[in-house]
Amino acid sequence: MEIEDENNFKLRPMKCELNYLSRSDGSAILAQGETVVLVSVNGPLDIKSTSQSIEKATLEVLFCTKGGKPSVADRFKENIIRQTCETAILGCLYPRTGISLTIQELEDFGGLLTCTVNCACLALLNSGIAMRHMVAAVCCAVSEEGNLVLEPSYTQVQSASALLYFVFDSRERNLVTGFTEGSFSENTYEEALARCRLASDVVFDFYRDIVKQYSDVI
Amino acid sequence: MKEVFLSNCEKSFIQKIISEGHRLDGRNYNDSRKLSITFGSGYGSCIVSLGETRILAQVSCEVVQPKQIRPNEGILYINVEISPMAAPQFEANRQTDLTVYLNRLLEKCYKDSKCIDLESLCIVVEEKVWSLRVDIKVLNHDGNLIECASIATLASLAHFKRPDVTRSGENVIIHTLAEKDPIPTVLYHYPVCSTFAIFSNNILISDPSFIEESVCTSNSEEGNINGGLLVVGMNQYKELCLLNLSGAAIYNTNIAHRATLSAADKCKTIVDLIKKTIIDDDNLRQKRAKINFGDIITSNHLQSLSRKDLSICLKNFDVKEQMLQNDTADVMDVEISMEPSKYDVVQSLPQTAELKAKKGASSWIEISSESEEED
Amino acid sequence: MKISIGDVVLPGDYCEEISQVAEKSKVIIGPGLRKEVDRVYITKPGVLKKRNPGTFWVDSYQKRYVPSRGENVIGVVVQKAGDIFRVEIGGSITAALSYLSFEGATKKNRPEVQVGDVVYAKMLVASKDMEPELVCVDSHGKKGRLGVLSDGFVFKCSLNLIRKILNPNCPLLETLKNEWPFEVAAGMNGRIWIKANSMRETIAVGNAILGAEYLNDEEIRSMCNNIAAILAGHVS
Repeated sequence: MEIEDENNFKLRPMKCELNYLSRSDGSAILAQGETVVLVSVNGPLDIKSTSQSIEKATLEVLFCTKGGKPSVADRFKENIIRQTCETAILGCLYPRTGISLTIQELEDFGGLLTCTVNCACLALLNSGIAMRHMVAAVCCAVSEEGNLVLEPSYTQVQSASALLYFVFDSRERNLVTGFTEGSFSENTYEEALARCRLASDVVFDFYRDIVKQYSDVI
Repeated sequence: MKEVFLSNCEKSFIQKIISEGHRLDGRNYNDSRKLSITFGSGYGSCIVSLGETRILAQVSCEVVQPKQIRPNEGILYINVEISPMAAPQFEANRQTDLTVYLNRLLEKCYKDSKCIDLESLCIVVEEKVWSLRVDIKVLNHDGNLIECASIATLASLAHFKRPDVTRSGENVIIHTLAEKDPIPTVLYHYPVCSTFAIFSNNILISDPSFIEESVCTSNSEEGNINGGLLVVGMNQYKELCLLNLSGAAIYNTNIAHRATLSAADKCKTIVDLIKKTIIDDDNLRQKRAKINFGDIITSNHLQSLSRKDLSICLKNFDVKEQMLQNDTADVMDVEISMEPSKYDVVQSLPQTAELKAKKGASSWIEISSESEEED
Repeated sequence: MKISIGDVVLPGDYCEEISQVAEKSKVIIGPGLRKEVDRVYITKPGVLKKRNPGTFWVDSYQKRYVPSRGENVIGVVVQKAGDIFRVEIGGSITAALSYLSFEGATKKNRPEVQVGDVVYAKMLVASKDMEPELVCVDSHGKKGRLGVLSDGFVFKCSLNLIRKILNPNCPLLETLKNEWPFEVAAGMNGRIWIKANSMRETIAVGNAILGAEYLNDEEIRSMCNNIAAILAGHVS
């Protein structure tokens, strides 16, 4: 397997705008490469009593595709994002309320899920909801030759033999969520995990930059 | 759905300023908010923003069997969705009156006006036709969804191109975009809706904001029929395609007449703008420029936070330089009685002192330090 | 990540300085900070602030109000339910305001409050597990400046903006009060009530407040002068 300089990461260029929607409590639009996602956060809100929890805030995630009918794949994405964000949010501070997270896909050129998780984290930051830690998602593809490609492009995703997604927290860089598609060896997994973990620093630095840009007017 | 509750003072204030000739955001009665149309990477997707109201439209197509009563016509389907993204009071996956109302109006405006050549969507009579599906997603609800949604629908339909097909005997081949250039949709005419809010029975306000809309519709609910919404759909030839009346508009023919007159020019400018942006976009695509929704993200974050137009604004705030001439005239007309207030400032110093005391009383620092202790 | 006072902080960061101070004396940790087993962690993005001797908090951006005891808020009465008024304050649920918690109110002498009225009230109970409760009197039974706000106009803004304009160092209200008379009440729940002699002056106050959100002190002063000039009908 090809060994690269460990500190030389090339993630796709990221662009972000916070507070894009005026009516939401928090919102962010994030472009990672050509993939673009818009996320809005509302909460803590009143929700119907059947879904209230006396211990913590209930997180409701809604994923909307650009067009066409909703599908099972969307529900799957909602589940991943809900589980990821539930660990990040300090829900115990807002018992018997609901936090709703609405995701609108705008462009999908590969890595939609990582972009969605990162955008959701930015929207949560913007909303001012208390969080235990931040999350950063990094995607890694195993190409046909067996090489690891961080943040693959659209064509690379199409031709990849396996795709690995990892989400890390900002405290100890622990793995929060991980899921994979395709087949690969155990070693590949370990290496991809290590590489993505290092790459998650880039994402966290990006978050910090964004908050820095508006911090002086807070 | 929980309704947004309006306080009495908001209602009466909005009504008073409008009857005095002002609007909360400093517009004139006939002014619309800033309209901008951005196209996505694929054909037939666009985000339209009218002020802070934002709507995403996406057209998709598939081959289906035609309806039996119209065997040689394609199908147009419009689907409106309002998710909690639009505003916190909306619930996910729930049809509200507003969604049904929007859907119905858009169908009236685009299906019943026969602006799309449905026959051109036919591939094999009685067997295969194209079905166009327009998905309208409300991203941010800041009033006047109808106008914004209709612009989004029209722009995405006019921008959309479907794959080319060839028939060889029984088989129909659908070509990919790389094989053959896609075909644009044929539009006979371009209808667009414009909304007017009616205040105190005879004042027409174009492009109402969320608060103006809620104030004028809340009146009609309480049996007081001085307000209401009026939707006029017109095409670029100034032909009426749709008229939807509620509240005061039903009883007052004069208002409907005035609205159609002022809608005529407005719709023409909107249609011209849509056509122009589509041509510009087409030229860019010819040059193989990459167009992506990512373009709407501005890189300067501080700017993007403060860029938003203020929802409460004086008539000439921010545009003072250019509007100077107009506005001084304007102010003179309306505000001549205002002039003495300049001197009031000196006289009512006690009141300003009052203000200061008030500020002290609600000073955050004192209270916060107290609340922090309790944390 | 380890950070210190004045830094831009993000959730998951921790501050050792706070723990060090805590070893010697009492420490008060405010919004955006949370103590977990060994360390004090940040929970909100913003700037870490400190006031001597031992008060720490994070200034962050927020639009949604979460009730907190002792804060003055502006709410709208949405319902009369027996002895209490339900007041919408922008939090997750409505707050309760007893009809007895007005100055001079008794069981026979009920205060005149209608549905749709705007009230300026103080948070008496604000716990995450309980319905928030408001009062319109202080502990001496005097109303002070609390109570029903009549006329004028109410608008919403971000919670930061409220803190910004209420900051004694903020020049906004200082500058505006010399230009024309007006009344203003700022609720910590992101609502501002304004009232001036004329509609136009009221709009001007609203314009100035909303416009100040992302400006620095100098810019605020020049904006206020601009607005005053527009209001007077001649740009000087």
